[in-house]
Amino acid sequence: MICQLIGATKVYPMGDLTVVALRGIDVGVESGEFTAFAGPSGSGKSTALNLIGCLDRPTEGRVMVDGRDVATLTDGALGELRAKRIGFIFQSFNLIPVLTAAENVDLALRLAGVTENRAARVEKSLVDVGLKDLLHRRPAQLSGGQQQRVAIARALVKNPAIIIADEPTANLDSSNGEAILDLMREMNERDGVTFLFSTHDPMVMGRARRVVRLKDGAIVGEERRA
Amino acid sequence: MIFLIGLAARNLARNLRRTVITSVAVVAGVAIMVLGWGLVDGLDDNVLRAARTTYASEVILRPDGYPDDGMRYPLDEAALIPDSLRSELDKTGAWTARTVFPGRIVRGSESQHISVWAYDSATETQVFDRDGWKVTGAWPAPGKTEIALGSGLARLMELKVGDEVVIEGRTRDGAINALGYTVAGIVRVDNSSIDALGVWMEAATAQDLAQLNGVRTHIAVAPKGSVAAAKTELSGMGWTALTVSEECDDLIAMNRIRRKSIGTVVVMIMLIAATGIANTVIMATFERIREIGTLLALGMPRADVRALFLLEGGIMGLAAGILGAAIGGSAVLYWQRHGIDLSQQVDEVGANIAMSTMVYTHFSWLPLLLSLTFGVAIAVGASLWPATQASRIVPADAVKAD
Ligand SMILES: Nc1ncnc2c1ncn2[C@@H]1O[C@H](COP(=O)(O)OP(=O)(O)OP(=O)(O)O)[C@@H](O)[C@H]1O
Ligand SMILES: [Mg+2]
Repeated sequence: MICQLIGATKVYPMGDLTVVALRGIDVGVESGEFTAFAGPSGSGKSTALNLIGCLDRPTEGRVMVDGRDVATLTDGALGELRAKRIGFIFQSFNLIPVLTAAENVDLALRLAGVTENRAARVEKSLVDVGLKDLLHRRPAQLSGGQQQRVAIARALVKNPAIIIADEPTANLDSSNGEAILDLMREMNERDGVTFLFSTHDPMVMGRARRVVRLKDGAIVGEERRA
Repeated sequence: MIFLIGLAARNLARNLRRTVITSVAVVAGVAIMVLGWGLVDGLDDNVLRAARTTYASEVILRPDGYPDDGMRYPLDEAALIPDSLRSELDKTGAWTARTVFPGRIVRGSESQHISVWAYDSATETQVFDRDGWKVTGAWPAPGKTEIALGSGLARLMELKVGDEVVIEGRTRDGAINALGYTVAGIVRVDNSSIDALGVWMEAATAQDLAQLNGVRTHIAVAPKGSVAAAKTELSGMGWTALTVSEECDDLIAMNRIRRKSIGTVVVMIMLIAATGIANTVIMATFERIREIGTLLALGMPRADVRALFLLEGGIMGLAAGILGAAIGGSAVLYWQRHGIDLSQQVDEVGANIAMSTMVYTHFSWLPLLLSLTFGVAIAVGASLWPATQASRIVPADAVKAD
């Protein structure tokens, strides 16, 4: 088990009120999975991914990464854990605008503390996502699909235990979205990269080998496919 | 760190327009500080130079009780030089004595209040470098009824070399004399108070006009040894000795006030600059919340995120500071070499200040380094709060911000 939520609850304060985004859910991700969190808007998909990705802490319950309870970790240690073990792909790509494609990918390696062989690894991962000719373009000079490929390369380059992708195709047209999913799936099948993503999109859900359904902050079902 | 500096520089370059606009106040503040400092230092030099080269040399003696404001020259207060002082003066170094007394210059129906500078040409040149003065025509020849006019006075009275004038003087017993003289020369010693109202004549020539009988109002000394020692040795013989810097104390104190007001202006400009920089860094953090979230998500330590924004402010301050120091410094260097010539203005308004009409700014590294440090400190200080706020963002919220 790479990551696990145990009785995870997330409550957001909203002025005097509170919003319960997750109600004590239990879910885990094994190495090599290609899993989607599905559910209507507001069901808690993003919240769950944020907890698993250690971008936020639960109000109650536990988050385990590599068998360790992350509640015991300081913000700094949590950052290091993210840098080394967790890759992220965001809905809006989130590349650093002043850095080129290669520099964006290199940044992930640098923050993961990798000092050796960086240039070669950066180039390889950008070639793997089909961008071998666009290494030195800035994000503004790339299409949305290309930017998301850079983001995948950035997540991939450090060989993380898991790549978390919150609606990775939501800002792409359907053919680009499909291509991105194909790329992720290919990496999962060929190299055993673990992916955990969320989506509304039935097409995307169709590609997942395991779908966890959420509603109102609770898990309401789960399917596995071959 | 080098990576962060590069990133910060690129972010600044990306918003070049805003960066430049924000930096203008820092550039101006630093440039004004450097230039103002150089100018006031230059004025200090100027005041000292004017005193040293035109009337005080290194040590100036006046009879005890004689006014030292440089405005009044009462002949009543003039005194003989006692033999004891005379021999002490000879031991100390080169010296010359002058008698300055009030009078009027008359030409036709026009007349003008003047100060007569009666000198002893034999010793005068041992103390003062007359070659440094600008003389049109010639110095009065000994034994002739000739005078030299201050350049400002000549212009005011529209007098030329060779003109005949009448000088009125008053003896120590109050008798009024009026004698005719020929203008032999027009002299600019480059001390406005002398050039504006001074009339030069040999002490022997002045004898007929004012019955000086050997009384003197000023002794200028160029000591062989230390100035302080000379001052001590020449004191207590009926005459009061001042070193040239003591002589200029009042004017230099005025310059200190000038320096303070420049400082106030600079601080005000820098406060404006600080608000601008703080504002720009706050804007940058708001615009880039998603980017900050991403950096944190990728595992960048919070301290580095904070450092990134501090660097953006700091680099802005440094670049603007360097530019400001370069502008201010070059201006100071230029005017140090070429001087600012105020003679036209001074002659026109007839200003009567004991300073040279050529102001040479004074270049030194101290104000450059200080203002640069000040600029960077202000910029970093102004970025502190926004940078700290930026580093405290929760990455989960920030990665989705738009
Ligand atoms: N930072 C926050 N502050 C307050 N409430 C929040 C915050 N983030 C999420 N919520 C609330 O928590 C609930 C779950 O939100 P979450 O973003 O996890 O849903 P989601 O399943 O990802 O929805 P979507 O498909 O629209 O992205 C929602 O009701 C949402 O309004
Ligand atoms: Mg969501």
